[in-house]
Amino acid sequence: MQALKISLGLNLALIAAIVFVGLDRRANQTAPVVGPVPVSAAPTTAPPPLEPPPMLETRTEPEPFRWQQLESRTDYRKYIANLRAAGCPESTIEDIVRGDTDRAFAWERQQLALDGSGEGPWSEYRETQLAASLLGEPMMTSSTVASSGETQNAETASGSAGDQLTADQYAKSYPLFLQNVNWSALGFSADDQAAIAQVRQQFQKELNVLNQNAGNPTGQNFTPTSQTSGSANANSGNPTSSSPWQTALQDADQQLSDSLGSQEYAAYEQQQYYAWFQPQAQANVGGGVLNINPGAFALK
Amino acid sequence: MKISKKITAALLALGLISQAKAADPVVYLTGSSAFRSTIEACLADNSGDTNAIFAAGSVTYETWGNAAAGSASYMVFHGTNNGTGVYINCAWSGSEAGIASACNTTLANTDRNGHSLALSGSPETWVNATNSSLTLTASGVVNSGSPAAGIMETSSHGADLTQADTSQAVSWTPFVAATSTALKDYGSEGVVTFTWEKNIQPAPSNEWTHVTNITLPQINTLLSVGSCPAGFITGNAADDDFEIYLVGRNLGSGTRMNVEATSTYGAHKTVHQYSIGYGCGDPGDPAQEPTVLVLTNEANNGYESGGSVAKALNDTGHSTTSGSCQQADPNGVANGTVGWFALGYIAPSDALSTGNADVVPPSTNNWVTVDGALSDDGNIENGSWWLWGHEHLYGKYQISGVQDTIGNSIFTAVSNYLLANYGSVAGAHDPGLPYALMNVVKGVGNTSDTAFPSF
Repeated sequence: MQALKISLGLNLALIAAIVFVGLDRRANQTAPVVGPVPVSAAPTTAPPPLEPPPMLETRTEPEPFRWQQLESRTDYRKYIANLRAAGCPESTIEDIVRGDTDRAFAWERQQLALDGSGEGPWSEYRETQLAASLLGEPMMTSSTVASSGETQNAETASGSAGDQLTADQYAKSYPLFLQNVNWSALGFSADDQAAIAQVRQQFQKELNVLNQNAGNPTGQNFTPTSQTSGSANANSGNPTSSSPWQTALQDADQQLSDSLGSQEYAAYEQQQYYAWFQPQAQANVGGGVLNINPGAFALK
Repeated sequence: MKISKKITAALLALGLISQAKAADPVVYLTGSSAFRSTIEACLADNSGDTNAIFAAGSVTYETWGNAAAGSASYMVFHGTNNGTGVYINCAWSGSEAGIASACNTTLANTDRNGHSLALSGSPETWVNATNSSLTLTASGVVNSGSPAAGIMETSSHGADLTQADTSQAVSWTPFVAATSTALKDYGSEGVVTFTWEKNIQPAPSNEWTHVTNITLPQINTLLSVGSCPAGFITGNAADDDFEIYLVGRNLGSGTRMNVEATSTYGAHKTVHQYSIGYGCGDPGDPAQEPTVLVLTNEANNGYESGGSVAKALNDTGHSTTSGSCQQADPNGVANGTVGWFALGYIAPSDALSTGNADVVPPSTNNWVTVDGALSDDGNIENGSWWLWGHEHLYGKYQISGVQDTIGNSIFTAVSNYLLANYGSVAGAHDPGLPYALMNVVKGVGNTSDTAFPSF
């Protein structure tokens, strides 16, 4: 039993190390373009393709904020702790962690032509174990993981809260204006794109203030940077509370709506939803009924 | 035609015999409740002409859920298509629920208390089309009540085909290649129309009477907050003693999606709505009976069908002398507590269905103009009225065989039906319009679900 525990620990450490190698390697590669939204026979307004969430280009910004200020290339757990300290909602942290592990494992599975079944080092079971470990959640048994799809369906149908493995949690939650969206393909003019860049810059400034206050080990009592903030208390463990992170996002959305105008913002909103939905649909291929919770897409 | 075929056709037309066979394939059709009356007309068409889906004299059917066949929630048709006997099994749960059903997707909904509940129809539990208890006749058996549990299929499943009031691009279940959401788009058959109306009043107050028009910014405010003083709409502070409440649909609705998308409020934003009667039909709610006026805050939830919205807006508490204008505002949010009334968005076919009436027959007298224009064929065709959508027919991922054949037949027949029967009368309120009569487009090539009409 002791040997098994040691083995499990070493395996997890190995997987964590490989995840970082994988993430680092991809960070140095040209980002792959996610598959385009096909245009069907009849005319539609399907959103054009997204590029994956990138690192922010901040070198030319007057007050640059870098994700690297939160990231740690040698200690992923420290990165998670930094996010928590910065007031990032727990649900967003979960999305980031599960998204990162999912991308790393999916990349390796693709390289090795594995389907993710079983309990091998690149299996979905190991991936789930690693994400749970990084998030400090109880470890699940392989049988629990295997039956999670059925459990999820049954719970959703009966109206209870979703479990820890809902497909929503695999969705990326980066705000769209921070991503390298093909704005031109969306029909945004140069002026619109300049307005979006301005909103991005303002958001970075707000986060910069947030980051300066991140030394507070409790991650609480940040000074609000917006007039619209409803509370000075940023309870990072409660995704429903109004943290500076969320306040900055709400402010950015409002600025986008005001700057772009209703039609362009509608297109932006459509793209935002698609970026949230697409990974869930792709993760469900061959998985039976796809469960979507529109309430989790809280754009408002 | 041989004499035997003529006799058979005559007997079929009289409903004295049925060609229905238990072994015939069943094609499952769901989606838009706003467009179901049009689809029902094509499915029930026994003439075999270009508006019909089935061969001449071969159609038999039965419906459930409304006194009018075209407003029924469930319909089972049987007929011959391309020489083959086939059932078309319909359950109209709304466009968004329909798209989700065809995508084999369950959309989660939330009730007024924030509790999760599965959205009806995604996926659907269908009438068992081959159940021997069904009575399919050429003239149609119309049941106003819901289908009995004994004639339902034992488990739910997705649809083969779905009608949708918007394109999948703005849907809660958008197209993702190589997944179950990669639906086949047969195209847009035409325009689907909507309107705004007030709840019926046997004794209208001045405040109710003064509200004759609503503007786009006012619509956006009402969608966001759910209620407003009547003076906010009329511009007359004296009307502020009455509060106006928003009545509408749940997440499964294409009508709601159209309202949110075409108003540029935001296709995926939450709204704030109310129900009139006994809730909006969620589990635990009593059956909808317009005998008592009960105003309930439903938060982001709403009614399952346009017919239910119509019943709510026609609810006078079963009184011929008083309505909500004579009832104290239960929320007490207005400056006065004398009365209240409601505004709702709805398809014209549901708004004008007498089967939805409580005691006062519905009419366009209760409708309001939007930005000065009334919802009618002429105003939609010339671009004055902007609340309309593109009616699409979708097939499930990798649809093939008889399901695909029926999809093609429905698309052709419905497109022809719109051209032959709807539009070109200025004051008419048809549920759909053919593109051939439209003088405006939404986006280049009518490709947009969010653009305002342009020339």
